[in-house]
Amino acid sequence: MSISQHKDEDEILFRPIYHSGKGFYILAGGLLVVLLFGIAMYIRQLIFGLGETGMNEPVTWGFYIISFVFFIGISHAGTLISAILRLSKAEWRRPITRMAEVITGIVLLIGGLHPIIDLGRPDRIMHIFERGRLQSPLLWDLTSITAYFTASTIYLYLPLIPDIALLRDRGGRLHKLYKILSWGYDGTERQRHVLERAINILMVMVIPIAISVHTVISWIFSMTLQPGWHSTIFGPYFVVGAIFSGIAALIIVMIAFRKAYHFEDYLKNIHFNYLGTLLLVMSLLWFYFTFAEYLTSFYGHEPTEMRVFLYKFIGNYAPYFWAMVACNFIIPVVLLSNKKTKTIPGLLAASIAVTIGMWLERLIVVVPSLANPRLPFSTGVYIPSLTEISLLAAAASAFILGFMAFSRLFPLISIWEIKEGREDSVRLVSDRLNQYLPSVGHIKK
Amino acid sequence: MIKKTISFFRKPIFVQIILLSFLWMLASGMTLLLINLVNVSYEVNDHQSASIAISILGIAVFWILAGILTYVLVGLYRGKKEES
Repeated sequence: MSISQHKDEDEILFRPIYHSGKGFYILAGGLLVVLLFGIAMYIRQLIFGLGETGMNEPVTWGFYIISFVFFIGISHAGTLISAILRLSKAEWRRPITRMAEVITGIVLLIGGLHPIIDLGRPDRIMHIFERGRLQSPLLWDLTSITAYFTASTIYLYLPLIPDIALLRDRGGRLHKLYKILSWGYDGTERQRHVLERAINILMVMVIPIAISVHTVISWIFSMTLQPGWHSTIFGPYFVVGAIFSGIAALIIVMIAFRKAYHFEDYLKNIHFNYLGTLLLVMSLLWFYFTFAEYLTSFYGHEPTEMRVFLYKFIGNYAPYFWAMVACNFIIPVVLLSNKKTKTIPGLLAASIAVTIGMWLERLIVVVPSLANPRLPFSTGVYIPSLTEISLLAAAASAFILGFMAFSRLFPLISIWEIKEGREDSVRLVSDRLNQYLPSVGHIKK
Repeated sequence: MIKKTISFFRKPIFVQIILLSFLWMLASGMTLLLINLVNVSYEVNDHQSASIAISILGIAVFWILAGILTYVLVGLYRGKKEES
């Protein structure tokens, strides 16, 4: 069947797969240049070693580990948020879940590469497989990130199958690929049952996996006795920060693709309003954890802890620390607690601020503690090199490029879930209402 | 016989089986890796309790994930066959 024979009420959702304007290619070209420059700089680092970076003694972790923690954090946008919304049967989730799940897949891939980039001799990673020490949180991380990536990819793929079947039936240049990936899905009763059952199992499974991933990442820091890191609340603090940055990233992606592909009928103000409220709540929660974390350090007044504390509050890292507080707390709270500014542009500004702020937070966690170690070193200095900056830019470009490539292959909004929502949502919601409230048995289905 | 074999390799099911087998290879690979790392931890007298707990959890997760995907893909294939 040819593409032109199909006219779907959700035709606009298919459009990015078959048509892309000049702007798409110009942007993709620009991003590709940044990505290639980053790869070239990495090859240079491979040849000349880690001396090409700003890392030194005692600051042995820099941009790469900061970006690793940051990108893995963003991955919580997807699967975790999508799973929670599905599990709570939030009907407004339908146009959002796919984009959230795609974010997870892409950023996990990018984030997962950073520890390898951080190695001066990446070939030595093979030693992990032969003689790795499983008591190290770094190896727990390897296990949990691989599990999360596998679970997220399956969780992205399964709800994609009905949409791939739609694409297969429309024919086109990638017909063979869609035929393989759709696994013969025809929407029969049994197939739907199987798919629904598997998605239900997965959405329960991915929530603890996702939480474990960022908890384990926090343990890389908190299991050491390094001042500023040895904290019992680092696990939940990191998880809160991850969800916070994930929601911000999701909002930015939604606004960008809504504008680019004219998805205004699907991504409505109400979706942004709900996500804005969620972002505001997470901002308050983040502030609570930050306050609790620093108050404990300050009250203890332990000399090595205080060195790190003062380094962040009034020392060399004070501009970054206070910028982080402004980006993660002041800007989102001011913008999102006021109805006049809780608009899409306001939400975009708040989300960009949070994304920058959360990257700064990772910087604030990693560098000051290393620069002020418990051992009798003089205070370290870390100035990132061009290699590190270009690799950060390359990672950001790879994220956008990955998303653009996905939009050329698969629908960014789950078409079958939208159709199902149109057909069944009213009945499902009224059924639920009849169960929740004893006096609404008269609600018509 | 040869014709039948060639036509099987050209069918989507052949590629699909390969894709699915990758996941089982990953699950098996992770299992072997974790078992090896537990052995290493015994050799070097590391604290084994954490190693064993993480290994058991990790291995279970990978096998469950592989099982779920196999269940879906076999289910979809059978669902189609029965209806047709």
